[in-house]
Amino acid sequence: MGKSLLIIDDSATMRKIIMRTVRMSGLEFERTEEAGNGAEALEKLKTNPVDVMLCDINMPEMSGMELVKKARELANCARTRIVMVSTESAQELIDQAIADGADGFITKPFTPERFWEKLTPLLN
Amino acid sequence: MVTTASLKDVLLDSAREVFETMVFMAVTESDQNSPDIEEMVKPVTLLGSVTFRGSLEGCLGVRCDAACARTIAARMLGVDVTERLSEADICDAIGEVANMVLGVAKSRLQNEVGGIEVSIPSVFRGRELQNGLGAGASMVTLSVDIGRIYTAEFSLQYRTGRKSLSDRFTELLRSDTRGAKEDGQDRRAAPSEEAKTRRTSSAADGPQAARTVKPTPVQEHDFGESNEAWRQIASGDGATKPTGAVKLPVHKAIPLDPHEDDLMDFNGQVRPIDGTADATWLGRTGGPSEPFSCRWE
Repeated sequence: MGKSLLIIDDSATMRKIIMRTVRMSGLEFERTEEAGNGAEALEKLKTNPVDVMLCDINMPEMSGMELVKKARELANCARTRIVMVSTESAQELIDQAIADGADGFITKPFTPERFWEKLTPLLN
Repeated sequence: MVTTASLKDVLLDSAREVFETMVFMAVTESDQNSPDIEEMVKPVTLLGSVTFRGSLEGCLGVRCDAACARTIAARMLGVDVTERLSEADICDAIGEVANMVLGVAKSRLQNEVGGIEVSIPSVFRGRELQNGLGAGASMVTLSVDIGRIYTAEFSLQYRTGRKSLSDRFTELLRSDTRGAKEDGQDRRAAPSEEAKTRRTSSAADGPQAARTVKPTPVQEHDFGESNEAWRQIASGDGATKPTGAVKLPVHKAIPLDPHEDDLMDFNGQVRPIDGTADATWLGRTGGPSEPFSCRWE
């Protein structure tokens, strides 16, 4: 069965760029969805869990860090792989994200290769 | 130690990395043969701005003209530059460029400046816009050629960080409450005569008309309408970033229509070169992406 992907970023342009870069990496998803902030993503996840979430950190309404914690409280997201995609690169923040339930971290700017390296082990 | 020269190098390297990775265009420092950035941005300026705070506080801006912004957006989205792009896409792209350049610069300066907090990017469209941090700030500007076709300018304005923003906002909010009680009125109520005067000078009047309005001091502690974010800040939740309506003493942009206060956010530390302008606020923080006209102080 094909995998599903949810991209969460407050910038619509960045969501398109991430989508394009994922495609360029060679990874394929049967279903892709988008959300503009953590709260919107959480609503989607309650009814439509996904295999992979690519999540920005600095967003209005609900930050990516908060979303990770809340998503991990949802029973249907227990197996969801969460990768943060952010300009933030401080080690403490990365550690915090992992401690809160994220599975990986990709810093912006990014390349297709970077998505391949980070997502392939998680998808397998 | 952070010096102006080292910051300029960091800015250039960061811009190069972002453009090579995400825009697929080469960036080189402008020379005497490059077009003058001030001439380029005279008709239309797009200004992407991100603020930061920590041991250093300030803002990073990227300025370019409409054609340059369109090309950057098209390259980032992987579409042909002749394809129709929405204004939102173009502005979003410029905001992301500013955001990523600051992100890369921040990681390169981690050892020197430690952790800094970064805001969500804002994008302004207007005429001859420029970032301004006020007196006492240092500024590094870097004019670059993009793809040997366009000229853009990156600027980094900074000063030594003082109190945290949330502390300062808390003080201002308390002061605002005290002031409102003392003068027995709600400063967020009906528009003042001053505001009405400002409103008569609309965007349609053009910049010259706007210049004829006598500058009046900005009310020092006018926060517009409070919202949940501000209540949280007032209650001392330092993790909350202001996303709502606010007009701070440091603000330079004053809406001509007082009802447009909710379009202001704390990233609005922007001023045009000549002191007055009409502008379009196209940021994503704290309000709808709709145009508004403003006067600058």
